[in-house]
Amino acid sequence: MASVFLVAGFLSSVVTLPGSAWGQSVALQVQVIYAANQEGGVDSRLGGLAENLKKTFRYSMYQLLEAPKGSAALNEVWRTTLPDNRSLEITPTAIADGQYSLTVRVLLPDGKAPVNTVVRLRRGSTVLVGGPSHQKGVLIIAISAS
Amino acid sequence: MAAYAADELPPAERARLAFVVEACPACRRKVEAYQLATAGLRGLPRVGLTASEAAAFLPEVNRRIDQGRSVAARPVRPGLREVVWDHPRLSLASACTAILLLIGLTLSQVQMWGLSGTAGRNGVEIISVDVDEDASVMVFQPPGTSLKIIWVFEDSST
Amino acid sequence: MPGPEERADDRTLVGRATRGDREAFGTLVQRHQDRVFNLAYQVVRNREDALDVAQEAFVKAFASLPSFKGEASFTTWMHRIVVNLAIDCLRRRRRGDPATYDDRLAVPEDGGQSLAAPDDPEAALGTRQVRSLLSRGIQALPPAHRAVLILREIEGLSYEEIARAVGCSLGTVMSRLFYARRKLQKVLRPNLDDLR
Repeated sequence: MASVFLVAGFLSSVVTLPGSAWGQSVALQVQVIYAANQEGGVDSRLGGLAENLKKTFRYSMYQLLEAPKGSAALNEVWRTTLPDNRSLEITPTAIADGQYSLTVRVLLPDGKAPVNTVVRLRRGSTVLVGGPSHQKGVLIIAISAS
Repeated sequence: MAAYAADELPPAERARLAFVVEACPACRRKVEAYQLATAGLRGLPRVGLTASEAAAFLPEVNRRIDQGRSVAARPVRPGLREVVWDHPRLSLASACTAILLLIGLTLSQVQMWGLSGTAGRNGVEIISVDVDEDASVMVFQPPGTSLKIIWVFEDSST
Repeated sequence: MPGPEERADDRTLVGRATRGDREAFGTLVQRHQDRVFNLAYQVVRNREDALDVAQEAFVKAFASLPSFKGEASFTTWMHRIVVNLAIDCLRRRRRGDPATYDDRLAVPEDGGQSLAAPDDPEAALGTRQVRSLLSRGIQALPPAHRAVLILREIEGLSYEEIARAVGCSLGTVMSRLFYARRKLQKVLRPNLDDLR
């Protein structure tokens, strides 16, 4: 009887353990946005993000350069290229129901990583990493996970 | 030791323990305490009814029977302490199970993020930011938006 | 010269009582009331409760007479009823009013002679101290453990008889007895030097 309890308890605890134990993967969506003070207006493909960008920044133009998507398993590095020979690396480091811990790095051509951040996102939320210069403005990288 | 003190052991076992008790002062003291307890209990005076209680006893019993008084309330269930005392292994197993479940549930929620809990109100929490020594960073959430922004101010040479 | 009722053994009296002979039942009550009261008292440690438990035990015995098959003695059968009622009383008391321990009111059958030997005051003091410590230890025991200890050490029942009386397995009896004895031993051990 006691052993039944122990086994049941052990199984329950294992089932409720972090999803990392079960090899889940994270779907990643990235929007690479070029923001500058020049003609061009707001790219309609930005959808709801555009409104928030306009509230936050004083740029007159927001253009969606690319929108790469992918997925990565726990501790697997997902890479995509960015303008100006930069690259973006996203690595899920923890996954639980609806929440993701991600390491985000923006790398320069020489491999240096001027930006290395760890963020925790709830499903459907977006974090922005911005500031790398691009042409006459800056890049703003919007990252979300699901 | 209790059985030894109460003289309830088989001869071979008793002889073996006698050797241990002889050599161990703490054991001797324990045995003495057991023996004192047993002798004390057996020497407790029997408690009897007083004369008036004895005379009134049977009439009271008959009165209760004639009244059709239902005998006692339902048996009272043992308390937690009694259950633990009576079933120590099952109690320990249950406690371990409960602790395991709690750990599992907590870990699944905390997810190695320590005590900081889940992502912030807007669903985003910045855990850490490292930047080059040539750069500086600002983390902010613009009012009126649901955004969390990590803004890097690069060195002009990049 | 004992009358016919007094001469009849318990089994015969039970048989008659089952068929509605209240006089036979009355004889059984009078024959066993002191013993039943003492057992109840040793468990509940309160005179008023003990009286109530003892009387209720006989009421319950009367109601259960048809189920008395006679495999065990009437005494053993009563043990079971008394112990269970006493345990229930203790549990109810623990959840309600705190225990009203009044061992001072106990009237020993020997009129109190056992409490003190006039020619040995020191021994009397030691005995009183032991009993005081023992009473404290017994009070701290869970009801079921207390009952097993009383049945073993005071009533002198065997393990099997205790198991039948309390309605549990032999292993449970031994386990409860072990813990109860250990508890009492722990109460007495620190004071051994004073009690020798």
